Amino acid sequence: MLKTLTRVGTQAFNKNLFSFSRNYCTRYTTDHEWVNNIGPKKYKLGITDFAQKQMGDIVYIELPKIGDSFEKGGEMGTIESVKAVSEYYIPIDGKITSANDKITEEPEILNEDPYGEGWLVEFESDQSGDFSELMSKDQYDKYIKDQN
Amino acid sequence: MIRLLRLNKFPILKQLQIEEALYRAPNSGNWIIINNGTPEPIVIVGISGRADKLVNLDEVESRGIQTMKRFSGGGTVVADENTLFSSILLEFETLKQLFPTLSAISSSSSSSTLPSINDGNIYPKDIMNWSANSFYKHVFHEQIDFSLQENDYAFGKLKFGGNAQSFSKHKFLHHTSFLYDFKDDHMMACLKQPDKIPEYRRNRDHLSFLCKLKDRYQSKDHIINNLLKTINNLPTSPSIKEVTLEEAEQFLSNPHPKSNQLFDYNLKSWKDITNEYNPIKNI
Repeated sequence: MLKTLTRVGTQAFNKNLFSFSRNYCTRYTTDHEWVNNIGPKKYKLGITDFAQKQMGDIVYIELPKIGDSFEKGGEMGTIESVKAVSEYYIPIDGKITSANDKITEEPEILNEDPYGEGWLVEFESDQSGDFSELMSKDQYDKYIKDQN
Repeated sequence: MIRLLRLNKFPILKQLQIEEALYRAPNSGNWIIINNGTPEPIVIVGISGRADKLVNLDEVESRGIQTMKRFSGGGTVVADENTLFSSILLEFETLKQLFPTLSAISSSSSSSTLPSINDGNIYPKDIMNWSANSFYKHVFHEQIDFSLQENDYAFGKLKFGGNAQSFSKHKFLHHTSFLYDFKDDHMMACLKQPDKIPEYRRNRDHLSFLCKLKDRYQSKDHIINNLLKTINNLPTSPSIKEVTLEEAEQFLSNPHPKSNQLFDYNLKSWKDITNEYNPIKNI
């Protein structure tokens, strides 16, 4: 039993370690989206603080439907601010599993908390390789700096 | 090359269908569309527009005026034969070639340093500043008080033109409705005061906030001629090719999402536009 408990405990520890480390694995795109690997083949996406500042007050968000599939680079929806309607894209092939309906009612959340409550969608994808090729935080920070 | 399409009293509903097709088509190129009025009055709200919040629907319906929602964002306007429409659809690469540096442009509304548009991405505020300071400033060069007030074209603090922008990966659309004249009664009766208004408006009602170009220009033709001169004097002298409506209409047949809609006063909801540009499909 002790061996079983040890094995189960080790498995649980490793799973938690996986979840812990992967929850903090965030990548960024040149279109100013952040993508968080939240579990095996599971991702969450939003726009960065830089993007929401460029947009100004956000007034409307169009979200994709659960079950919609997109190819890498495909347009998932639009975000309207006082300045413009802008598209946002999926950075790797994926299928939508969840959409943050709350932000359609309260779009200002996207300005206030772009990395937290302002997430846009969750999706599943087999393309972990493509995910790894997205920019790290340091690379994204440099990208923004080079823009300005 | 930039294709120039000149229209006269062409229905804005159909113009917006064409613009959406051009905007969504991957290789539609660069376009400037000028339309001298729309034949019948029509209320146009932006993509997120809640008709019930922005429009006095009963009033509009009783006047026989249609209400449509356009595919781009921005505010609400009552357009008619005295509204001058100007739409610019450019690929970002084209804009960078036309304006390789922003050093000559001063932003009147932004305190942030503008990035050089030759390096990196272009953002909505860049296009707003470019449109005001590098384009429409020349169109309205006779007016020393021309300015960009937040996102509106104004003389002093009086708005005469509203605009909307749409951004995709490789191009942008910036379209404007200029108020050469308007029926005061339509404006006041048809439109509600929006919840979100620009600060410079200071809660003024429509008639206190807007002004008419006819008070400064004797004819719409004068403004249209200024527009054409500005287009022909763009830096680096790009080739400008005047095209026919049929050339623009060709892009309608490309499959694309259609977001322009008409308000159904009976059902009290938006419905897809069904016309010769978007016929009902036989089942």
